[in-house]
Amino acid sequence: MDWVKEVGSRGAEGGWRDDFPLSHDLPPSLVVDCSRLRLPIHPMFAVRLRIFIDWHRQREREVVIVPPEEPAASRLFNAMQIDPQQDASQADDDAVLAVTRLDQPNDAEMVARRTQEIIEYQLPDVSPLGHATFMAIAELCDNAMDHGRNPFGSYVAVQRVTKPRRQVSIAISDLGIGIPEHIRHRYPEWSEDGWAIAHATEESVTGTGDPHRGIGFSAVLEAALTASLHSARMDIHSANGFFRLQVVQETRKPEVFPASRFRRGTWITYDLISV
Amino acid sequence: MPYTYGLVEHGTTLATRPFAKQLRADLLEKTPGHKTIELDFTGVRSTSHSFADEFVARLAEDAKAGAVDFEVVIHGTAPEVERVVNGALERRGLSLPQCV
Repeated sequence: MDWVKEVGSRGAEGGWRDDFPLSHDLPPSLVVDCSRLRLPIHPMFAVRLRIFIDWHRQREREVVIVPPEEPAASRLFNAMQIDPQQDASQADDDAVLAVTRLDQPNDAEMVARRTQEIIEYQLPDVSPLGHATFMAIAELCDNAMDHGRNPFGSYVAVQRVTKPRRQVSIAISDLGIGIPEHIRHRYPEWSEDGWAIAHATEESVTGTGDPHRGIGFSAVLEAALTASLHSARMDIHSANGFFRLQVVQETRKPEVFPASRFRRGTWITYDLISV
Repeated sequence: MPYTYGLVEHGTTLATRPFAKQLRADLLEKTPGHKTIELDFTGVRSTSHSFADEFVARLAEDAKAGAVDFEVVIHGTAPEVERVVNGALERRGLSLPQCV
């Protein structure tokens, strides 16, 4: 009997409403029905579904993806290359960077460069956010490939969103050790996962033992502080922790929330909202 | 005459520690015997902090500690790049002369 997941019409909002289990207990044939899905489709939804597809296909399960019926949602879904077996022939300006797997050392450099070029040269309404986007992808993907090292690699996707405000949304994920466990190698006293993530984003805090590391998250936020930015929001889910950092008018507002459930690896969404 | 290492030959945007390590190894291979190395950022639009720390700041630190026998100067940084490079140097308590 098939395992069937029906994604709701608003299932992609925020990227987290539907569960895509990475479980060895699932049957050999899986169906994800996205036919009712409508815009917006958050890049984190795209990354999560793509990881689900790749993870199960690597284990020789058949994964069938039913694309959205609504034309605009279908076009973006296709352009984001969520299912690598589908013909990715449709273009959509909002699909800045289709879901991309990073497994070579220079992949982060390549996607950061390509994304900045697309934003600055092809998308004038969000072009002032090009440098901040470059810095976020460069630093966060570098972290994912270094600290989140795992045989499955890391994934990144970037979208432009035009309503209700102009913004660039980035999703970066890996199935590695996760931030809390990584940082506890150095700081075992940070036992609560949410607070461990919060501390890990502070400047000069690093799990590497190198006193000059630990600048990545600070650099990402610093780069966002431009006159073109209305606000920025970074959500980090890892293990049993959920940390949110908002930047509004140069003020940083960190918040730790209880995680709804354990999440393997690290899942970061970063929204840069234009004035 | 300084040896000029043109960063733009490696891309108009420069990011990540692995890439920085690669370029540092490339630079050290090309510069034996030179007393001054000029890091020419002309044409480079963006660089990440991790790249700047691993490439520029580590070279500057090695030069200061005498681990390499050349001095390092910077040339041609755009304002955004200069801010990131200077930030990386400051975090290690270093500075480098800028050539004009």
